[in-house]
Amino acid sequence: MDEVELVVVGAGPAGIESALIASQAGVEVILIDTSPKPGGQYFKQLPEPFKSDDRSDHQDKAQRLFQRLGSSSIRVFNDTLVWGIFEGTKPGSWCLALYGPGAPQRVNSRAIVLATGAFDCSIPFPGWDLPGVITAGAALTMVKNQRVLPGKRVVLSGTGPLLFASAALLVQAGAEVVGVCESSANLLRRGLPYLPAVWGQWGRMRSGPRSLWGRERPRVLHPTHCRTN
Amino acid sequence: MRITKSTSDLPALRRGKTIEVTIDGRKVQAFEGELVSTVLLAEGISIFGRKHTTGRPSGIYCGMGVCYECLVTINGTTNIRACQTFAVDRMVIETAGQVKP
Repeated sequence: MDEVELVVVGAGPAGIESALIASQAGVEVILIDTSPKPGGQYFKQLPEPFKSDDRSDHQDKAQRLFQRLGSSSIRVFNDTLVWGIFEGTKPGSWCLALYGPGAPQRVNSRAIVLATGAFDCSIPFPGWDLPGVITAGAALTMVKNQRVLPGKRVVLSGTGPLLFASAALLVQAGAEVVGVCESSANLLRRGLPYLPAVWGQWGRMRSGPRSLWGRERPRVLHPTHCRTN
Repeated sequence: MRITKSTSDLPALRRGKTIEVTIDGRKVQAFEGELVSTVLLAEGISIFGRKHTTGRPSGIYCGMGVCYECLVTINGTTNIRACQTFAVDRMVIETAGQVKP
């Protein structure tokens, strides 16, 4: 059975970065990810047969990270599922059960970093389980990575900046965005305490106003207009 | 509906080779690199399966493999996530069928 000092689960930006830091400190690392390519949702890569000349800063950052990963001694298992974590045979060790082509069935590790990421937190409402209702994350993946529209007419509902980013992208892609139902009464005011965190994130600061006030601006509905029965 | 135009946030893209898949007995054209969910949506199919307990229709929801709402039958194997499976040439996809209007 493979034995390492550290297994990192999840090859998104956080997982890759932590694997790199550990590896640079001389730790033997295995990095495991469920997708065919590293990147996670944030740096999600186009499928292999799709070709695109993407020169955005975002893609540039992703490529630089993948290059650092490629030139490290980290062993990467893509397309691999971690279906269980058990106590190892040695005291203080863990045994990870894997499923994937090219991956061993089990790996023993002294430590594990779980960088399995986040997914959309949905608030249930009547009918939310029916086809046609999808998460904003799903809409972004469909449009960006698969180039397919989830629908022709779209209403976005929820809270936070992802809603506006999704709306802007959907409009660009040709969907009719009927409205954005922002459930927070005053998103900008509530965001003020976090202002110092955006210092230096100029690229994102540029894309914010573009989705709020740009040419492709969707109609923003206030909470009072979005009540459901 | 496939997106064909390119914009500032959607740089020009070339899809993979043309392939042919069968959806509920009907042959349709698709492209290498497309997920099964993409091919179904492009064909206007939104009902992928039905909930085992209630029979209510279900389709793609999370698009990232965590919710298991998009299960279809592929080459005779049931309960395959459409959003995590790439379409390949001569793949046979079966959905739970569409509702009559």
